Amino acid sequence: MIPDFSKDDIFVVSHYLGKIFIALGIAQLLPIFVGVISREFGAVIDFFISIIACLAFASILLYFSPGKQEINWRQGMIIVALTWFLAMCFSALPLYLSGHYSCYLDACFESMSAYATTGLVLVQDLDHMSNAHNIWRHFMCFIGGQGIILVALVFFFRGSDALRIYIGEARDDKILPNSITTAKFIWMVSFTYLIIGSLMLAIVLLFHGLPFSRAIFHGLCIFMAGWDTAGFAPQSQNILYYHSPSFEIVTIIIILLGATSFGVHYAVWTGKFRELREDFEIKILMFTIFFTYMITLIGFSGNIADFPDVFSFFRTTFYQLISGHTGVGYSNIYSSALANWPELAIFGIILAMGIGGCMNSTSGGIKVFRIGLFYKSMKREIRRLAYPESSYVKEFFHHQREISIDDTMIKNAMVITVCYILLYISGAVIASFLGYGFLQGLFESVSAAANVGLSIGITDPSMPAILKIWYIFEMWAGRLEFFAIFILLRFLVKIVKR
Amino acid sequence: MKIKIIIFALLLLVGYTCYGQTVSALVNNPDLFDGKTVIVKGELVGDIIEGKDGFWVNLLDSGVAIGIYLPHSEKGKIKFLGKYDVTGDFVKIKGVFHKRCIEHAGDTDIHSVSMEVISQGMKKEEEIPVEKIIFAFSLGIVGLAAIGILHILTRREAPGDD
Repeated sequence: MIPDFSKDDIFVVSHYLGKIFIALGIAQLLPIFVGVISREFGAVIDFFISIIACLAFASILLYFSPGKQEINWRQGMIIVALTWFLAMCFSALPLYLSGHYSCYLDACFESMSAYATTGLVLVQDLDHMSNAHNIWRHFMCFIGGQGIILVALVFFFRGSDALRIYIGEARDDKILPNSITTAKFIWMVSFTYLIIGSLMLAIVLLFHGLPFSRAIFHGLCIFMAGWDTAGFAPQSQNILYYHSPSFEIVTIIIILLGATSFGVHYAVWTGKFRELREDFEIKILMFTIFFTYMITLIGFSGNIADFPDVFSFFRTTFYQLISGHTGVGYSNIYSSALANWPELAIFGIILAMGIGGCMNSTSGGIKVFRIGLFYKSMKREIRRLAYPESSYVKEFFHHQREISIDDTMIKNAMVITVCYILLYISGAVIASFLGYGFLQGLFESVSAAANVGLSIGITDPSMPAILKIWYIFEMWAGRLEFFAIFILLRFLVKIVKR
Repeated sequence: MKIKIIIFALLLLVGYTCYGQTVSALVNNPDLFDGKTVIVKGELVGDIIEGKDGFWVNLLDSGVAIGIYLPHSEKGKIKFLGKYDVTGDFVKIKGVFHKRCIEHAGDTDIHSVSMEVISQGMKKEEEIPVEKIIFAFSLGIVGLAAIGILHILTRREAPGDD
């Protein structure tokens, strides 16, 4: 019999949520620092209010929950799901106070989009936003990409507690023997790339004549949102603002690094470069990029003459494809231009977005790992049918080590994939019901649920509130890969029933 | 006959030049305006981005921005670019709209023929509403006091807890 939820669950969850909210309050010191050096005192006040709100909330939770207790799996999942939801609500406060959002729901949409590294935006007049608010938007992407919990793991959790909430955040690969050292490694990799990547972007912008401080600011923002496959940008035109193919090439390198699993990063960092060649996930990723790009190309077969030359055709189509596939959502064209693409080309992008990047990376979507598992499973079944009945057929793949596929692995992959497909379709159906085209609705829904951020024009401050709420749910569920949310919902239902 | 030819040429010229378009109209109907001379008005925002034989600046009109490519000689006219505490110069640009510019690897842009500064921008004084300051100040006092009291109570009630 499944043990019922008890008061202990509430106490344990409150206790750890309290600790995480202290970390969330501390994280907002960065925008305060940026606000002070940019002399944006109105923005500093917004973040001061938000920090006090976070710390007061944390204090209340810690007061009402007794001392530290060990977390079980169920509590770990509830902590993760609630953390993401409440972090969205509290992190939206400074955004709303900035005056760049028409309502609190829009600010919540933006903060969930940042944490889930989606990149769909409802901000208004972004070109006049303060540096402090802008850096907060991008810093949320950086925190969410690695995982909000992963931040807290390093400071507040120990031993088995750490593992239980680490798994809840849709990470199932322990790169190092324990979750805390894994979390520290992920942060070390991210900060190292942050320095290198931001400098590379800043150097390109310095060549384009931007002042040093602006080049560093843009470099930092674009890196944080690119590495974490979020797709936010500090200006309303997104990547189109820079008018620079060389800048776009640097962003492609960064987003491909972001879409690669931290396991592969670890292998490369420890000198095992052959992993890049041998890892099954990397091979599948390369194949799916090629395959979906071919669909996009076929879609354009009658329209290539619309482009002035081959380079501009490749620049436009490949950038959207790679941006969609890795889940970054950066765009070097307007949404209206994307909406006018041939339907098959749009389908190619939808497919790429739906598949997503690698497991244990900052990407969303079904993930190429699961697609690879289905391929291997199919191969195993075909071999099983071809061989004599008495033979035992095994199929292996290389993912940091040789792994034999088993039925549990396939079943788990299938459950998550079905959940994603249902989520993709649900958003399309709701959008259709609200008067948008089905293909348009499917595009936007996949973009939200797979945490991509490319838009075909539906996401806009004027879209119906019900669609905003549904996209928030899609981003949340898609980022956490469902189970933490299902357990939280069951927990809430039990509380209401009592 | 001469007069008829002149009138016809003028009509052609007027038909070829699309006056007073919004950026949104250009971006949403690129096929209609591709290769045509257009006139747009708006605020210059962001940064100056150097190109090969000119420079880029982005023009914001009713929430939609577009890249304008200008010759270096026009740079002196630009005094303010819009950002948080700055209202950028409000300008009128006459130029050729490209749905996919052949010179700039397929960018959607306008190559400026002429730029007129209608009103110069300015640095704005940051206006912080008094209510916001009072609210933040009160919240700070109440919040910090509450945090302090709860912290002390938590410590008392759970001795030995980490």
